[in-house]
Amino acid sequence: MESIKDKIAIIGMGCCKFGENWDKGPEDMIIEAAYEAYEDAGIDPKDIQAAWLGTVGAHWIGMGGLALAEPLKLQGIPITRVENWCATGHEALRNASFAVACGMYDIALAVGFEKLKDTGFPGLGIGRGMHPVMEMRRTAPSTFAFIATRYLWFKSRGRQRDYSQDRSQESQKREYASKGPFSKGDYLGASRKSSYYCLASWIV
Amino acid sequence: MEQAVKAPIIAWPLGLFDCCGNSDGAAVAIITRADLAKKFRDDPIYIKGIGLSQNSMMPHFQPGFDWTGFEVTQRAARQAYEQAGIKNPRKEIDLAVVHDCFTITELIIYEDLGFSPKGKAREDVDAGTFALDGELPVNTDGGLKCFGHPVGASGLRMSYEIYKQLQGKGDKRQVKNAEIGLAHTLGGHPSVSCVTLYGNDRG
Repeated sequence: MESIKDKIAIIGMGCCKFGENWDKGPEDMIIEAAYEAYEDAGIDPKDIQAAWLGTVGAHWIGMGGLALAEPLKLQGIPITRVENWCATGHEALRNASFAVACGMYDIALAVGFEKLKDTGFPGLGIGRGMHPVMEMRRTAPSTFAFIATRYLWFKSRGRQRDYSQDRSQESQKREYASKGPFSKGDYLGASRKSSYYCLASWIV
Repeated sequence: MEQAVKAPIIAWPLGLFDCCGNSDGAAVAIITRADLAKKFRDDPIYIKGIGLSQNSMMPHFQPGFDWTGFEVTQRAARQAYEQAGIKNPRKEIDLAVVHDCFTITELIIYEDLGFSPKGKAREDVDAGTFALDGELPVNTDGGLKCFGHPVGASGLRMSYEIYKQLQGKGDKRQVKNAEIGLAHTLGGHPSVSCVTLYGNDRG
């Protein structure tokens, strides 16, 4: 298997302002990001030979590449729409890279965009569970809350992922109920202060 | 900190500021073959590796799923490291932008990407390892907590930060002597992960 290492170079990038862009449609954001990238690369939009578009909101923009063809006037070149959950943006770059690496195109565009505000989007993972009973209304925060409690539980017990000592799910549940680490009160508080919030993001 | 700790709980133990918001955004990359790159600019950024992995629509129903790590991130990272020839990610990678959709996710990603030993991410956070002036700065641009998560745009927004940092255009956030950067996305339930590596030297 070959490696993609050092076969592809990024020569220009652009990024629009992220946030609640109530005053912008997807076209505005794509144009803003694309023209920053054109300028950064010092190329003309006509130099683009092929494009890959990553988005997951296709239910309202259509499944093809038109959401990119229209605002960037890229009619006439191949545009491929890709989607792979939250890795969608990287998926566009990945596929564009392979097409250029094989020599098919010299210059290609990888675009990722999403317009969630003002589209009636209720939030990620509302009722996302795939099982009709066990996962009713499981949401993204609740999924990761499971992960957080589990992770902290292992840590507090000093049994960092020692699978060999895992008990059956049932006995774990009983143990949770009887002497769970959080009943001691202090552990979560301590970890929230020193561990969680030191992770808080930099703004500048 | 006070505000974050006292924020309303969304899904215990995750409070409001543990979760990233949904937002709007777009990001773009223009690529070419590495041998043509210098025609366009003096400081192109080269792709060093791309790993992608997925497991199942319901990974948590699989016997080995233990809720303390993401197999997909580990596998995607292994692919990307192999392509780039990276043996010790913590030492060889200069900065990373990772998928911090929830605070706990970022902690676990440190371990899955091999930045921290299993179960030791907290100790590394306390030691300042991932701070802007730390050993391996992570999410120098603020991550998903800052930008929100416009699903299809987030991956390229992360790459954008790495691209600028590797060109030395990080402004106040600039990581010193940054040569190799990593951008990571994680999605699904969680079922999909992509790990991309970039460098400013063609090698």
